[in-house]
Amino acid sequence: MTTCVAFSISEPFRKPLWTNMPYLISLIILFIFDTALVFLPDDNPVLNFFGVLPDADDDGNAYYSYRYKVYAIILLNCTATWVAEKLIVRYVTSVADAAVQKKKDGEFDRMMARF
Amino acid sequence: MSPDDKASLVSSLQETLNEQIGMCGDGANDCGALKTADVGISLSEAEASIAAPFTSQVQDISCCVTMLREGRAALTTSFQAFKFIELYSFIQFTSVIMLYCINANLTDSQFLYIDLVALLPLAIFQAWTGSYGKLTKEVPTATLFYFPVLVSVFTSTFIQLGFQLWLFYDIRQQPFYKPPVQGGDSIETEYTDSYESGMLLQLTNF
Repeated sequence: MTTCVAFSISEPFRKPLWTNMPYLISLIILFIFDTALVFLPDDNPVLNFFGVLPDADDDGNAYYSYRYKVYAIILLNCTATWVAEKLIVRYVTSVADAAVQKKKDGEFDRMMARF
Repeated sequence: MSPDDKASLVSSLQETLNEQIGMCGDGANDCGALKTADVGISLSEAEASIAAPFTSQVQDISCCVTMLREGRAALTTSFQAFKFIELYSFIQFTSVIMLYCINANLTDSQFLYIDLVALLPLAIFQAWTGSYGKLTKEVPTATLFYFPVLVSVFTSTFIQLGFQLWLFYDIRQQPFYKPPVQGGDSIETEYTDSYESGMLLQLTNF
């Protein structure tokens, strides 16, 4: 989910993401549902369906707080992916584009010199 | 200019500039040039329109701008869709490999949810974004094996892998953790539910 938001290329070729209603709505629904999946209580039909096992030990002690940690890791993952895509990749792209442009300019100059 | 002159002008431009050449014209005498050009836009519904891949209803060259805008948006969209599918495969590949290491796997319902509910709508709807309102001087990436495209996919893959490993080992340290039940010596072992797969499902959902 984060990957497709991070990979979403809008300006200057496409309209921004929020103009695409079905896409935005499915993103929001998925986000809400996946968040619910992390925090749903044990012995729940949804969790049983997905095969997510209960976080209680054999003595019945629940470790519900672990889920906050999991959710924090998940959000950190989302942020890291997004930041990497926007910063590192944008930098690499600009360097590579400049190199390609320089090569093209060189070719153009050589061609013009021929005439 | 004779029809042959137009066609040879287009082909000489193609040879010397080594770029994609577009041609926009009406009437039958443009047929040759429209055919030779990489992108031909015909301005009439009659004879010339057969030779050109595109036909414009508006009888002036404003269609070239529309053409470029839509073309660039389409190219960007297919790149985005390609990167998304590529990365999704990498993410699922790494999580399944990790689960195989402990003789577990994602369950059928987990696979079903990821592929059908989470992935399909996103893969379809992400292509519905319209083209940008005006033509800009930037040019989109045109080759798939362009260095930044690969960097982008692999950077994200390694970030995902790192977080998956983190959660994979972290869950095993928890007091409630029980290792997955192993089902006999047979190679065709039934995979059972495991804590690892549940955790990875929750991570890769995002």
